Amino acid sequence: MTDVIRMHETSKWFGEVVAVNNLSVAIGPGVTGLLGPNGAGKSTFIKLALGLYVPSRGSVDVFGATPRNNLDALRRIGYCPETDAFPEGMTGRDFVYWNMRFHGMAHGAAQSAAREALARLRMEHRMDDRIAGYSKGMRQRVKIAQAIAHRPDLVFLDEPMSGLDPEGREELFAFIRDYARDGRTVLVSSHILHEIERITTHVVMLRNGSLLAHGDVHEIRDHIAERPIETPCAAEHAHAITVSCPDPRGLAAAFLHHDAIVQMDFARDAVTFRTRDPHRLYEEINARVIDENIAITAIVCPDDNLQAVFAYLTE
Amino acid sequence: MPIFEQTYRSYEGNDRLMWRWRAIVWQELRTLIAAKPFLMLLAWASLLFLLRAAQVIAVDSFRSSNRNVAAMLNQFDALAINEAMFLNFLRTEGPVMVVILLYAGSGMICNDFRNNLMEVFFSKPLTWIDYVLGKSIALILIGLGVTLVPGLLLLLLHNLLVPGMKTLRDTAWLAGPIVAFSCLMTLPTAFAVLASSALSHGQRQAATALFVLLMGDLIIPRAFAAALFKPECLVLSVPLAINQVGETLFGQRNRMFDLPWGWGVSLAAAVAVTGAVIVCLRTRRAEAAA
Repeated sequence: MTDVIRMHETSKWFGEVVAVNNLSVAIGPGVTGLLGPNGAGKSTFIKLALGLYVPSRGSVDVFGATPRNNLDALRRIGYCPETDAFPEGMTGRDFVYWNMRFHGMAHGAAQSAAREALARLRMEHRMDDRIAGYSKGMRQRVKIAQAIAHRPDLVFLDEPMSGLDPEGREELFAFIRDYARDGRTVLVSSHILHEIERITTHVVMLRNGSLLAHGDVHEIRDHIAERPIETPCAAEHAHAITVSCPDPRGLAAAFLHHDAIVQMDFARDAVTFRTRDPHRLYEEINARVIDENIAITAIVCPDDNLQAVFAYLTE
Repeated sequence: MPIFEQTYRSYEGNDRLMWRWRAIVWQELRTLIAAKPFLMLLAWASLLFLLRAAQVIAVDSFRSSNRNVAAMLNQFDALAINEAMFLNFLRTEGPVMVVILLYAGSGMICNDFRNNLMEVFFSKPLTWIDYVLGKSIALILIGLGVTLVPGLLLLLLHNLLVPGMKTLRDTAWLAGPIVAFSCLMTLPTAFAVLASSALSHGQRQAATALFVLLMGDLIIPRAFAAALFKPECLVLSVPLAINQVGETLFGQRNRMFDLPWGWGVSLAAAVAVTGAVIVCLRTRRAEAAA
């Protein structure tokens, strides 16, 4: 897989504030979530990749070249900013149309691209109204439309879900997954972990401008569990498997001396096993349940998700 | 082959490097034409043009059709179609042009800053040079549209109504002064408006600041000239200096004050260059850290 974005020991500081600190990361095609709390450096990361910021140290490559003033690269990029960015008095259709003209499209091509993109984001019924009269969600859709109307190979969506209603979010999740299916690259920044979890498992996690983790979220989770010595609370970082059943203590007794289990926690109708070998334990729980005909209501893995991984990493 | 270069349709763009600013020019002009106040200001400028056109039509038509009327008209210098008429026409269009440019240009850059549009512009295949060229050319076109274009149209109208080599020979030279004086009025105004916009936080602030500056530049040198009995003080006023160059260009002998025309041109050039430098610096800074 070819890397579309590559940062090497990249830092960006504004006076004494370090926004991005010694970041080395490579991002390939598909959807990648850019995660971190507010002020983590997500927007700075995107602006560095767009060439809007010059790195204070290190290098940034997009499509194999530096993005700053690289018009060939910028033609292949779409950007949806986090904040509202609309000229006064313009309609949604005009906004997308003029942005396509700035991309170098001729009048006719820009018109059809704008119409197509707005229709794809279900804005065709309001596209000739002034943006000032749009709801937050509609403005968000128009911003996304201008980012994707020229069908760029690389799209940066900075907090695209903010302001969208639940239905709009679902549509956007589907749209992002679909857009990246052709081999295009979509980088979605968000500080809301479950939103990212809906569209991708591939993440770049930032905190205070530094890279916390990069890769598949499940792999990162496994990595945390497999390397307890490097983490301060070894048992807490092991995988959790919660089995809901009428007799949790009976089930727990069967696994009392299991070498893969490092801790057990009890609730009223459930037992949570913490293990460094979740695959083996899953198989053994399943086998024991079938062999001994134990009644269970659910088996879940409560911490194999982005929220848990992020919490572990930022502890 | 890298995966991002495969089969799906993607837009690569085709515009030549030097023409990218055209889109910004068109956007500004199309946006302005949709604004009612701008159309009303254009109507005001057009009215002044139509009055002069009516004068040209009336004088030229009567002169060729009726000798008595022609003799009577010759006694009224104010109605004569000569270089003074063209100069006076441009002088009356000048303030209108300033008001139009203040309306059209004072928000051009500051509104983009305020609405976070700089990062949208520069995430497109546009450079800060395209941005500055687009905004400047849009404003200059509007300025020349209310000075140069009607001035040349009046000249053409006069030649059409009184056809002949003599008219052409007598008036052809006026095209040069009309072009030069229109540019001399428009360029400093356009760049001053853009600079004011680039340095301000809002359209109203930019327009007010420049209007106050312009009034001060008109009133203070006059006050000094009157108080000190020294008409040379008037050369400190940019509009008066430009006006003096206009009088020289159109061969007027009764001038407000006597000074080499180079002074007025230098003053206008200094204003235009300073304005352009401010716009370039502000835009470049926005591009570097949008």
